[in-house]
Amino acid sequence: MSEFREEIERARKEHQEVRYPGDLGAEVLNGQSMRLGYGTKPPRHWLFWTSIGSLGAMAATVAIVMWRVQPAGVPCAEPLQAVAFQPRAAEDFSIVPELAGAKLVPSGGDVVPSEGGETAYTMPAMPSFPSMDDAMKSAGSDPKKSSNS
Amino acid sequence: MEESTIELARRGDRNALATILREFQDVWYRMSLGLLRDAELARDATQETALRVMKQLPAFRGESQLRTWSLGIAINVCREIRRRDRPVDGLRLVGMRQEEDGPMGEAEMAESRGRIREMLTELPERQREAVMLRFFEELSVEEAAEAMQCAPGTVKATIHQALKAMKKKFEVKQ
Repeated sequence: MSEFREEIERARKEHQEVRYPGDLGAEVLNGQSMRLGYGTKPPRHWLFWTSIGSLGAMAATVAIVMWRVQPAGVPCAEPLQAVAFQPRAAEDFSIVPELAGAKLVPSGGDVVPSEGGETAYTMPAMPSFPSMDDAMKSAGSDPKKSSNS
Repeated sequence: MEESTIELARRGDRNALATILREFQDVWYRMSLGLLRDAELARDATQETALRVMKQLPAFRGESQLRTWSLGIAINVCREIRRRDRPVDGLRLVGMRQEEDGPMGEAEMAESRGRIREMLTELPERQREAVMLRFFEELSVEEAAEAMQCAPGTVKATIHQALKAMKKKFEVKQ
């Protein structure tokens, strides 16, 4: 065996003597191994519930303070009088409300303006433009000849 | 490792999981130590490997040995740590710890360790992984290929290149 092989063999034996310094099963299964930073982190349920509890306690304290302390100089409102319930007839619940003194449809004129009436609008006719032939004739040239040449 | 233990662990049995972790803790640790060259980082890597093995165990189909499969996970963890700590990797080599020392005589061991470890350290990452799996963990070429997630031919070529480079350096230092 060459010296190089002997060195490799010696390094192999040394390598296989290495032991893990501890009990991996106990460390990992008891959750003591979150040291790398990118591994799975335990969810922080306690933080969530502590925050919820704190916010609830603060809200309750504020509510109690506002309830107990009344502003000075503001008289207490008079107690409301009870109003007896009066059942109404079915016709009182019509869909179209009827306003007193007002009509839903205006009177004294047509809703749609009649033809020829004062309110009828007429569109003016479109202005006429000379055709290209007329324009060329008035300029003294034949458009067909000029296009062929 | 018995099939029944693996099956129980796959179902989440804590005793079975503890058995597996104790069985492989030394394998994962020495592989991590060989690749990372730092005892503290190697310990972190071993624990991270254990967590990932536990998480991925239900997906383990038993086509390979649990040892080979888990070594593949350990290698991936070490690659991630090396990528994260690359700037200080060279510096860590200076202060290798005494707890890595084996049972050999101090002077002889230091000399041997100095040569082989230095040569291993100077190898590219993939070559170091291949040499450690093949010669230090004594995996077959096929098993090493599975752990490294590459073809057996690639492992053979990688080992050939690594040994050639190591021999060359060894002869120069003789």
